Amino acid sequence: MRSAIVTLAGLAFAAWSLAGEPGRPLPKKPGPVPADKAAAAAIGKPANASAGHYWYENGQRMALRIDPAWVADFSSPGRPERGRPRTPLKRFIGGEKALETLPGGASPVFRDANGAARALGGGVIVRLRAADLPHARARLADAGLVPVRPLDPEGRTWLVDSPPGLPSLALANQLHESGRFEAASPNWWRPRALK
Amino acid sequence: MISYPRRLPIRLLRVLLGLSISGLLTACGGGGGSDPPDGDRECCFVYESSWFVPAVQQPGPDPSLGRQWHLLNLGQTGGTPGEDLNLPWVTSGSWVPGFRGEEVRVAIVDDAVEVVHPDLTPNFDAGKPESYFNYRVPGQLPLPYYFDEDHGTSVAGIALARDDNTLFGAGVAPRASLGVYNALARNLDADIADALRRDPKVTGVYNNSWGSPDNGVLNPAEAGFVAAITAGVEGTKSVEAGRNGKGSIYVFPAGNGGCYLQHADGSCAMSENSNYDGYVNKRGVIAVCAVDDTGRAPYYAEPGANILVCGRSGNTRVGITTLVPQGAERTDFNGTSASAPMVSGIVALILKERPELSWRDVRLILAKSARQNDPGDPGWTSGFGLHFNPKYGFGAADAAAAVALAKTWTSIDNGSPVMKSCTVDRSFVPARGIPDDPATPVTDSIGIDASSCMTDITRVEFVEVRFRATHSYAGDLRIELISPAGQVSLLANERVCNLDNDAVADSCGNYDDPGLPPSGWQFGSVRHLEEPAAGTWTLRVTDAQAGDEGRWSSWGLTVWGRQEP
Repeated sequence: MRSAIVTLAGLAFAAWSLAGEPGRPLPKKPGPVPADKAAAAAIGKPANASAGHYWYENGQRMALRIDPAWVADFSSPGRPERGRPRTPLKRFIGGEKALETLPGGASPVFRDANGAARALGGGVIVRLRAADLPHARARLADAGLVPVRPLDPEGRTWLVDSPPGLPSLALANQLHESGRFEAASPNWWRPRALK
Repeated sequence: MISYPRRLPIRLLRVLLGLSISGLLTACGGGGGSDPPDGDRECCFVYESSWFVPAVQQPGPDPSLGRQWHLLNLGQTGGTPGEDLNLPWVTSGSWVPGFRGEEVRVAIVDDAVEVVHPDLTPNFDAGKPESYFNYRVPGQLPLPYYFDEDHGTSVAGIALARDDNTLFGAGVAPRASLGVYNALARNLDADIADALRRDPKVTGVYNNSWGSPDNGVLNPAEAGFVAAITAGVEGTKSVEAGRNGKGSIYVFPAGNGGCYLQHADGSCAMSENSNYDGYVNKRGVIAVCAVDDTGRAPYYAEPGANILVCGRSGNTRVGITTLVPQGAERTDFNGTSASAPMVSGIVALILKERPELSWRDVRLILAKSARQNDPGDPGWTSGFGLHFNPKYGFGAADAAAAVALAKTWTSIDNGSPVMKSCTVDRSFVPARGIPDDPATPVTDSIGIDASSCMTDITRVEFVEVRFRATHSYAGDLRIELISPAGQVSLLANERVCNLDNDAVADSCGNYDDPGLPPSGWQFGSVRHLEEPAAGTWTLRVTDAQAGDEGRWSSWGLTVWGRQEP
C-alpha cells in the first residue's frame, strides 16, 4: 500500500476518497424499488449493450458498452501524480463517435456488465485446441497471426500481436468466431490494485 | 554468485552512504534502459551505469533491523513485545545460518523491483534467465521506471532483503533468491497469466501483493488467471504442476478495504469482505491478512472466510521498514501488500527445510502453526483442532512454529497436489423469493455423503460456493454457509458501494451478472479446514437492508479435501 489505499484506476480510486471526508453522509441506495423483475435485473447493467460491442470469455459472449467520458492511452501513460495511481485512463470530451476512430495506441474505455472498466491494451490471447499443440506455431501462422509468446509451459495459450484499441477486439472476435481455435479474447487492461 | 551484464567502475558508494540520491532523479531515460515512452523527462527513475556494479557487501549487523518490529518486536514502536513473526533465529542484528531460506526462489509479481538495490543484489542473479522477465521492455532488467513504481521493491525487501551486510534491514528469508516478473507494470491480462506460470520448476513461491480494487464490489478474476492458478497447483494433462509436480505456491493479500466507507463521525460504516475479490477467493491462493504491532487488525483489514493466516503490517501509528528504489529505505510501508511477502518469506523458510512438501502441505502447516492473536476478539471460534476468526484466518503466521512443524510433517495424500472433490448443485424453478426483511432469511441445504460423491472426504481443505440470484440491489444480501458441524462461513454481508463518490450508491455487482459462469458468483472458504465433508451443508441468504427485492435461482457446493483417518 502506498501512502493511502490506492488502486490502479482513477475510477475505482473515487471509492476510497469518500472515506477521507468524514463529514459526508453515506450514499443512499438507488430507488425507487423497480416494479418488476426485468427492471430489477437491469439495474447496474449496461444501458446500451445493444450498441454492438462484445467479446468472448470462456466461450461465452459478453456485452460491453463504451464509456464516453474516458479513453485509455497506451502510448503515453502520463505523468504520475503524487499519491495517486498511474493509469492509462484519461478524460475524453470528443464524444462517443470519435471513440470509434481513435489514433493508434489508444482505446475506448468499456464497461462490462458489472460496471467495471476495461480497455484494449493490444494483443489477443488465443487458446489452441489440444490436437493442435504439436503444431502451435503453424496453426497461428495459418491464421495470419504473429505470436508474441506462449503464456503457459504447455504452449497451449498464446499472446498474438495486434495494436491497442478496437482492432484487437475485432481480431479477437473474428478468431473466436472462426472456430479455428478453442477460444480467443482481447488482452484486456483492467483496474488492479497494488495493496 | 552475482553477475551482471555490464561491469563498470564503482560509483555506488555515494548511494550506500546516503549521498546524492536526489541527483540521480534529475534526468530520465533509464528505467530498465529504455527510452521513456511519452518523452516526459521528469517522470522517471534513472539508473546510471554505476548502478550495475554489485554493491560492496560487508558482514555486520544491519542498521535498520531494530526498526523492523515485524521481525523482532521488543516494544520499540509502542506496540506489544512479542507481537512479531516469531523468528527466534534473529538476534540483535544477525541470523542463525540455516534458517534464511537458502536455495529457495521467491518470485515477486509486481510493478517493478530495483534488483540493483544494494540490499537485494546479493540475492539476485541477473545471469540466470529465470531470474526475471520484463513485460514492458523484454530482455531488460525489470527496474522501476516511473516514480510511483516503488511498490515491488518494498515488497521484495520484506521477503528477502539481505541480512548481515551492514545495509538497511533484512527480509524474512534473507538468503532466498529473488525472481521478478513486472506483470503489474502494464496491467494486462496476458502478463498476469504469463507471470503466474513462468519458471514454475524453480520457483518456490509467487508473491502477489495486488488484487482487485477494494470498493465493496464483486470483482471477478479473468479466465486466464483462474486457469493459470489451477494449472500451477495441480498441473494439466500435458504439464505437471509447478515445483516438479508438488504444486506452485501463490500468496496474495486479503485486501485493504476494511473501512472503505465511513460514517459522518469518521467511524467505519462498510467493510469489504475479501471474498468479493475474485483473485483471492480461489482454492490455489493463500490469502493473507494483516495484524499490527499490538497483534490486532488495523483499520484497513478486511475479513473473509477465504483468509488463511495473517502476516504483520502497519497501522495509523507505525509502518513497516523496508526498501525503496534508488538504494534507499522507508519506514511507512503498509497494507496487506506488506503482510503477504512476510508469509511468502515464511514459505521459503519451510521449503528450505522440506522442499518436497506439496502446496497442500504448506497451506496446512501455515494454518496449524499460526498463533491465535488478539484472543479477546469475539470472532474466534474453535473446532477440529483449529481456531478461526474471519478477521485473522487461523491466526498470525508464526515462522518458528511453521518451520518446526514442517520438520516433522508427514505429507498428506502421499504428496499429491490434486485434491479429491465433491460437487452438488441445486436450482430453483421458479426462483425462490428473498423477503426484504432481515429477520426472515431463506435457507436451503445440500446433503453430502460418500455415495453421492463417489469419494469420502474426511478432511476438508477448501469449499467453493456458487450462488446465483437476481436482486435489484445485490449489496443487500448477507450470505452464510453453515457446515454439518455448525461452523459458519460469512461469505457476503450487506453493504452499499459508491464508485463515483456522489450521493447515490452504485451497484455492488450482481449475482446474475452475464459475465459470470451460469452457476453465478463463486465464493471460497478455508474456514472448514479439517472438518469431515459428510452431512448437511446449509446456505442462509438474508436481505439485510431495507428496500429492493430479489429471487434466488441456484447455488452449488464443491468440497475439496482428502480421505484420511
